[in-house]
Amino acid sequence: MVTLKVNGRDYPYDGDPTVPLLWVLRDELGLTGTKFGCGEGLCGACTVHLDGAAMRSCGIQAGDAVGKTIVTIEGLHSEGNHLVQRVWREANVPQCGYCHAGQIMQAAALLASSPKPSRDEVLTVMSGNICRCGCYQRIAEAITLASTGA
Amino acid sequence: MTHMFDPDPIPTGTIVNVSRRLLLKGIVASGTLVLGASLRPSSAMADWATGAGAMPGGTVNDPHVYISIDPSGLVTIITNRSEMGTGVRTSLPMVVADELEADWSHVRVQQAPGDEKKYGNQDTDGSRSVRHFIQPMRQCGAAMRMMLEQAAARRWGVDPSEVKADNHVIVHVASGRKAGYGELAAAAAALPVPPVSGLKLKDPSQFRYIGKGTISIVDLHDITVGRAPYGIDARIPGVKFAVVARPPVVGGKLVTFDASEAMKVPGVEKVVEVKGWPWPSKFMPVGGVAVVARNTGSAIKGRDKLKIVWDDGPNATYDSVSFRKEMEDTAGNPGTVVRNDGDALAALKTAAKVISAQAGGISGAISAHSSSVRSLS
Repeated sequence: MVTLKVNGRDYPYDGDPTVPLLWVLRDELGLTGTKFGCGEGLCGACTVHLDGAAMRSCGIQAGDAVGKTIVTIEGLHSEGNHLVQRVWREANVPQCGYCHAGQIMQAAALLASSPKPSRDEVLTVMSGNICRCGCYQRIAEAITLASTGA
Repeated sequence: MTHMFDPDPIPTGTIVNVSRRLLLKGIVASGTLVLGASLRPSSAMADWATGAGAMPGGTVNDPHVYISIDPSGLVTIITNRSEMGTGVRTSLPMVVADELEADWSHVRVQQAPGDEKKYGNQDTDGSRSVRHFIQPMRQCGAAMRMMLEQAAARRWGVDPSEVKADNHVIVHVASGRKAGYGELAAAAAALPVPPVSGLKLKDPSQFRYIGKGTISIVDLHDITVGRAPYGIDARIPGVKFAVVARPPVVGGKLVTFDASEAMKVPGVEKVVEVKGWPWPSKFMPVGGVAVVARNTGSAIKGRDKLKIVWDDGPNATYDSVSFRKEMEDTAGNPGTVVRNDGDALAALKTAAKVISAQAGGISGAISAHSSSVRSLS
């Protein structure tokens, strides 16, 4: 039995601690906002925050997340109004939306560490988050909006 | 508020007011106007043939659309198509709302369950949902708008031609009297539905939403907070998670398997053979060996421990390298000219610089295929 601290709550988990955190979040804790895309760390859909850093939850064993502060899309802001969530809506960023929990978590971590990122920095940091619908221009636009207010 | 669907088939090519029938059956809240339309575009109802009638099942399973208005004025519009990122879950109800002269901020979109007898063809593919359904959706919205206008005209003792719908309100132009959609819903429900031949569709210049680019997708907020439900997020009480080891060669099949090591993986509960469809399976499952576990991660670990003997079947010798070469060789052959505007070939001969490139690749996507099954045994 281990305890995972997710979105400010303690969750007990009595299963295999070597299972990727992604599946514990989704299947054991019911936090389905975090998405499975590839399971290989190639697409970024499963991005969550571990102690504030954006991490691919498919590549982290649940046991290795014990003692860390885990934040998922459901816990990014108590009312869903984190700056990144707001600009995402303002810029109508998503289409199908499947990858956007990961996109938003990645962007939120970027802005937390670099509130005024250059365009190159935005493109570099976000390049690991793939979007099937091709919303890349609006993703960059929204992050610019968040960092400059324009 | 109760949202219900017409339990009885509606003859093709008619619009009927179903609310009284449903009221009698006690499944619609009093004062709720429900409109059901059976709209087969190939019938006399359509102004043009859209092709929807030729869809599989389309000529038997008529498209239906349903609008309900509750006494508060909340308009609920059913969408019969699945969202896959094109925004169709928003755009078709938006078309209804436009013809209805509904205020989008008082519109709620409700997903139809999979039931082609009730909702018509629900095959959301081919980039044709709007093309196939814009006409029936417009007719449905327009019919309800006219019923609301007639209800208001009756209330005020004026001719329907003197009133008009304007953004969720019916206005008597001469006197300035107004009545909201919610307060008119019950009276409108008691009126006969105008025949399609009498429907007045909007002139495109009157469109409020269509083509304006001002409406955000209905799922926008839910997507940004992780609450938009995708197929893979469906949860059934007592749910288990399974992954399937499938034949490594298309058209191959299972010979035998040994699950003993897989069953030792923590969290794995069962290993079962899944019968597939015979080749060519087309859209049907190809079968394999399913590992059932308490979570997907454990199921994947279990799958990796399976010992399986496959019969690779007729494609065992397929070689993707030689197939690619074959494609490239074929691409080098002269093609059939379908269209040659301005004589591109002549222009290429005299061009200062010619850039030549060969494009090719495999279309792939980030798509998490999943299905949820309720087992009764």
